[in-house]
Amino acid sequence: MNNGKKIALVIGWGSVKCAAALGLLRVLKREGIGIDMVIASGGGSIFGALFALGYDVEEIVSMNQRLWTHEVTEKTNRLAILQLILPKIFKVGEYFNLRDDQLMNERLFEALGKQTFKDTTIPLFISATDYKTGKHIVISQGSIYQAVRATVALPLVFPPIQVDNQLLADGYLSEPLPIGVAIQEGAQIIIAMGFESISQEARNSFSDYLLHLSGILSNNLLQASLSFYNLAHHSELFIIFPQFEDDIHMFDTHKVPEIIQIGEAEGEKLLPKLKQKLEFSQ
Amino acid sequence: MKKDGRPSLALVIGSGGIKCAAAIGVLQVLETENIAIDMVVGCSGGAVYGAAIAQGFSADQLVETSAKAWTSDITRRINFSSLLKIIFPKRFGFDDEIGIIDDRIMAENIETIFGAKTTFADTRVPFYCVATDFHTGEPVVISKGKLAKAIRISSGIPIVFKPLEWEGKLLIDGALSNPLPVDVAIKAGADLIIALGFEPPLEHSVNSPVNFASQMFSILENQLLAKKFAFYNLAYHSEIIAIVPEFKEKIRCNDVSKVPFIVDQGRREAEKHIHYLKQALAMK
Repeated sequence: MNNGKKIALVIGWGSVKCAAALGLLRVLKREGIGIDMVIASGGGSIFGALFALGYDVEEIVSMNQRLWTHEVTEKTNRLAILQLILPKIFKVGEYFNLRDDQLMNERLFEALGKQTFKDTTIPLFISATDYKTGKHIVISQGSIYQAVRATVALPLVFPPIQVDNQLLADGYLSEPLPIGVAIQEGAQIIIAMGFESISQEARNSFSDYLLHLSGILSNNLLQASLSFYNLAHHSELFIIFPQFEDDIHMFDTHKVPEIIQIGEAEGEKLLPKLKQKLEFSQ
Repeated sequence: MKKDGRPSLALVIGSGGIKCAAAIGVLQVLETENIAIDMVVGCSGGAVYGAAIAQGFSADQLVETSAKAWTSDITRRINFSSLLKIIFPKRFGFDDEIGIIDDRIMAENIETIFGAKTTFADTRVPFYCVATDFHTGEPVVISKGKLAKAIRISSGIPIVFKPLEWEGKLLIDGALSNPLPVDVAIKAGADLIIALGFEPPLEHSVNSPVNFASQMFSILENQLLAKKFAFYNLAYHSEIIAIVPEFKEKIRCNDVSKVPFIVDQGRREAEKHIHYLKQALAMK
């Protein structure tokens, strides 16, 4: 149905909100529109990776319900609090984090196991950030579990991880919506779903405050990237920013069904324009 | 374009703390060549030098400005109530107006340099400075009101200094939304723009929560600077002359002793571009 056009799906940073991409994929599947490559950053990489591995959208939806239960993200790392108060005694390294990542790691491993980028049915690219140099890193080989774990490492929340010789952290620090990768990989039509990173709710603690500040920067980075890619791109770019009525927290895993529905509605809105573009290119 | 047909030249000074003193070196080169600046835009530390240049301070006066702005006691007074709010948020009531360093000395320093009553209307050439809306994260351009307060707002590094109210908005450091505000000069009608920018330094080793957080912010700001600049270059390429001095050694935020070295670097970088600038001015 793609009339020979190479379509890329880019799923941006947005933690649990990234599940909206599943709603979009549901619509595309119904219409027989295939995706030729997936590029993802942060939480988007979980859904992007499963989709690239050939899982059906409905399968990912039900896997998601099993994997992302509330307890995954609720365990506080007690050591971090001691590190904050007494940094000299409880040494802080590059792995400083406020949440315990053990359960998240187990669940991610359960979903992705030992699969590598070679096992995908369509090309998959995952964006992360080198925490030492600050550079954007695109991962397209090796363990998918490791790549996903790296890009969901939101600093201060989950610790960065060592992959080969690099210390990798969240893609949101360098490329919250990695459209540039899709352009470089020769996509002719790019569907990019991004998410705002600023919460409208009151901040009740210092870590909320730090995350709000980094959200301001990342949101401005996202806007600057979009302006740049809009001007520079040589392919068709469809940008979707799902709007959520309530504030969705990073750990609101129970809101996923509602998020998927919002993504689906966005997919329906996109459809006429996308179809027109595909027909024109016949 | 100005009334006399001469192209309008803007100097934009990005965020960079005391490294913004490199603007003095740029000004020295322009003074030698008799090139006048028609408007100035500043962000954060750049707002301090930008406002002074807009006021008509000479390069020599600006060296004095550095010593007056970054006095050694600027970070000495701790704001204990903010610290308590951070450590015991529930008991002391956490709010958005956190600032670990008491900002009174900094605010006084800025008032000493510019005068407490001076407004944007008093500057010799138009001056704009940028800040960030703490709630929406959007960039805000300040172009009227008290000069000293605007400069204090623009250089309000979050967590270190508390955010300040301005026209009903709570504002913080412009570096979080627009570290090198070239667009402000474009919108104000500049034909040619000298953009002096600074890359925030990355940490050599991450061994405290402060280091860890500072690394996160430096990475984000670097990426933001690069992306914004790539966009401006694509959209308005020929009119922007970028000067990005590199500093091999780490410069602490109030290390006044490094100012001569910083000025030197700024001058050297500016000299590399002066030929092109003169050519561009003649062609416009």
